[in-house]
Amino acid sequence: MAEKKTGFDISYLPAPTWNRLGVNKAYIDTKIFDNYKNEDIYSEKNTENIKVENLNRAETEKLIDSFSKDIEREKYIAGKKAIYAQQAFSTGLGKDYTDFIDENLEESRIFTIEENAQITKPVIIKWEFKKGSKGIYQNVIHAKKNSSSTFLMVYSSCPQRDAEGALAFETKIIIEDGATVNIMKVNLLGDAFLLLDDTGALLNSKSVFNFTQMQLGAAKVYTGCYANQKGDKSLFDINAGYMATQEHSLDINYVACQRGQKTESKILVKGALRDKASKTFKGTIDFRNGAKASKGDEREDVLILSDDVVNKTVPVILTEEEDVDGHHGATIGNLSADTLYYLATRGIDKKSAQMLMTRGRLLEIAHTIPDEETVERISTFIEGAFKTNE
Amino acid sequence: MSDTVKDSALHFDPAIDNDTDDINAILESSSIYDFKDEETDFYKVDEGLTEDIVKQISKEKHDPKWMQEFRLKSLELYKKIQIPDWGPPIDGLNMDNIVTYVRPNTKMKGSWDEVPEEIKSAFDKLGIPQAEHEYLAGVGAQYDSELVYHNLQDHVAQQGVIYSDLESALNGEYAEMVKEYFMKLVPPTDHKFAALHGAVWSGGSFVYVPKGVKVEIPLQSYFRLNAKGAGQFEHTLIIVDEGADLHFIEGCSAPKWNVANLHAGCVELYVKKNAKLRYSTIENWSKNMYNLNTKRALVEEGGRMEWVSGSFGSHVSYLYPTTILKGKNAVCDYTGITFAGKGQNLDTGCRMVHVGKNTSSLVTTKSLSKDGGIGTFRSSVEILPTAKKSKSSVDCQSLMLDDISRSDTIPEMDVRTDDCDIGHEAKIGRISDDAVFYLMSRGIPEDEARAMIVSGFADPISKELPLEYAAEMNNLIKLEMEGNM
Repeated sequence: MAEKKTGFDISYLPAPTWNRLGVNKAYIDTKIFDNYKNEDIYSEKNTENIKVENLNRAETEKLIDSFSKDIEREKYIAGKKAIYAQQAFSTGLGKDYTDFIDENLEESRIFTIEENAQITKPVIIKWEFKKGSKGIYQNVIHAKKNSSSTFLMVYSSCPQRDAEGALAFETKIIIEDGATVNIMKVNLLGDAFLLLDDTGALLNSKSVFNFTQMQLGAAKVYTGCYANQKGDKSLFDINAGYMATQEHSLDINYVACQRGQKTESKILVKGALRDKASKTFKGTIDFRNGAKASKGDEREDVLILSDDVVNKTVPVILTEEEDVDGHHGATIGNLSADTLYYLATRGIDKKSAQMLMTRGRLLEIAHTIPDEETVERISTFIEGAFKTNE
Repeated sequence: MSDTVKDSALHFDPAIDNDTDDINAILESSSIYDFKDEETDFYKVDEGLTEDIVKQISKEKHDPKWMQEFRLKSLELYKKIQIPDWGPPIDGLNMDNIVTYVRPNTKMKGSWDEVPEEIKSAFDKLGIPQAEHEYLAGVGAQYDSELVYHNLQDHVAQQGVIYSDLESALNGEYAEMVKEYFMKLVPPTDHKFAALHGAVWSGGSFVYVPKGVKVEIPLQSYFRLNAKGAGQFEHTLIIVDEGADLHFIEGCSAPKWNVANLHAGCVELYVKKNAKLRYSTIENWSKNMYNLNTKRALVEEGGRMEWVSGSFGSHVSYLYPTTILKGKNAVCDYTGITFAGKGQNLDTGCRMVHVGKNTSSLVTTKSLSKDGGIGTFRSSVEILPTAKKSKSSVDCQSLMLDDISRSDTIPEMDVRTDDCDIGHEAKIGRISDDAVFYLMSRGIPEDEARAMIVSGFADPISKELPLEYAAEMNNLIKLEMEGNM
């Protein structure tokens, strides 16, 4: 008799490709989360002008459903049979992951930004995990009309760099007409953590969603972000950086689903891989019929710093609307001989040059984070990663 | 609205939906390729796919024993391998209704005068004898499952070039060479339709170009599938030996029927050290065709492979020529265009596998979608750890000609060395209103202006074709733009 599966598939490529490439989906075993307990050092800062509450499962689902009930669920995606279950409120890691979160959490943390509220100070949420932590978390951000807010979420296990654990996060964001939400997620976890970090956003008319993500730690990371640009003139901007070292693996699935007219999306990803690390980046711009005069742009720039890495890049554009303008691009390579020579003439050896270039490209993204302490920790974390295997 | 359109494109099934608007529109339309011939005394096997049918085909073709065993093993694999779950739906293809072998009432001839009049007439309409006379070094013409004509100009034959039907090669002087190479690049285990091909293949060409021989003008094989509800499974095996040079052209067409036809051919190309092969295809199967074709090339040190591919016909296509750049300094250029019109779901692209050091690949593709057609560009570039200092560049551009069609690009890059340089660019857009306005302001009607812009978009591809074929391609584009196909 076949053994019962203790996990499920996540991180679906919206339009599948050849199965042999191993990028259509990923499988996670969630047995590790058995008997999980959310034990962490948790802090929230700058929440004075925001309504923060814990809602039970039914109340949370009622809130989310009230904004997503009219979204169609398609049988076919990109002219092919969908190989995955559709979600009304889509997230990057998919339906089974959302069900897993829902089944395991009795309540969720809800942040509500009132209509027209302009929250200038970023809400800073930090989790400091101990060795062996197992946790499941869901945050829902509800940005009401014409509000503006910024959330920084930092997961770390410092100073225990080799700490292990298993963490599952989900963030769902409802952005009403004219509202702006900036989400920044930073992973500074120890070298033996499993991190599942999912994001889904529903963008209404003239709303803006800026998503910044720094994936720097943990042994295995599966992360995704899906923006459903339902509203006309909605904007979605991803600015992400990653670094994977040792034998770490990273799976990233970003999707901009542009349904409204005059919507715009931009997905910009920069990263570095070294040692025996592996990474799969899936980035999809999905122009739906009716998304007239919409634009989408996607780019990944990968620095490969060792001969044993595995880099997979899948930049997808799906189009069922004539009046759109979509681009994607990718560049993959090492530091050029000219760059290395230039730095060598200034006394910088190859390894230091690699660290400097990695740190430089990632700090370019990190410097948009409005928290100096976090930026400093990112810088230190990158330096530490290059020292680990010396 | 979008779902209605999308579903009609997906669900158009010539085998079962012959009362739909789609099929009627297609049957009402006509093209120069859409003529049907009576097949009164042709030999056919029964519909479907059984061990007895495979044995019958093998017997008819006088296979050596190893080939009959190969066919039967392939049939077993076919039964076991699943239908792909990632591409366009092929629900309308029912193998129980496909006739896998149809032999015309003639043996292969070396002179057009000896080919039966009704078959010769078909190739006359397609311009094949005239093309042979004017600008080809040799021609093979396949009608349904068998070659009916094969000829190679004397001066090319005198260079030692072998160009024959595959069956003759299999039973003649080159039997060992065929055995050594046949379905080694595309093994029947590769996918379901490679297994099907291994079981029922028939027809196709064998080409061997000896060391250092440069064939100055192209060879061409033309495949015509006339029989209703039939499949064509020709096998093309080309070996271009060290330092040799060949341009091979493949053409194909069929009349339109209101039932599904199937093309599951296989092309295996071996480009030896410092050799060069250009393989050009203008595919214009009828729009009831399921084109599930497999093409693959193995390129040795310093070799150069060039693909030029135009996909215009078929109801559903799965077509991704693969190039394995095995030897150091091997090079591949892939240039392709796909035009998906009404009722078509064309999934095309390519795969590059870099194995040797300092190998390079350049992919340039164009895709057009119109009248509810679905065009998908799918690719993978795989850089193995051994492929140091390799380079690859992929550029795909898609043009949407209305808002009831689809155009998707699904590329993948898999890089496993730090010493390489890989780039990918893609762009999807529409015909610029400014460009149309500019042409109209100079007295060109709007329809003509749009057709001119599309021809310009396809120009980088047509430039790669011999003049006569570029003209044919431009004509196909023009007809598609007029909606007359």
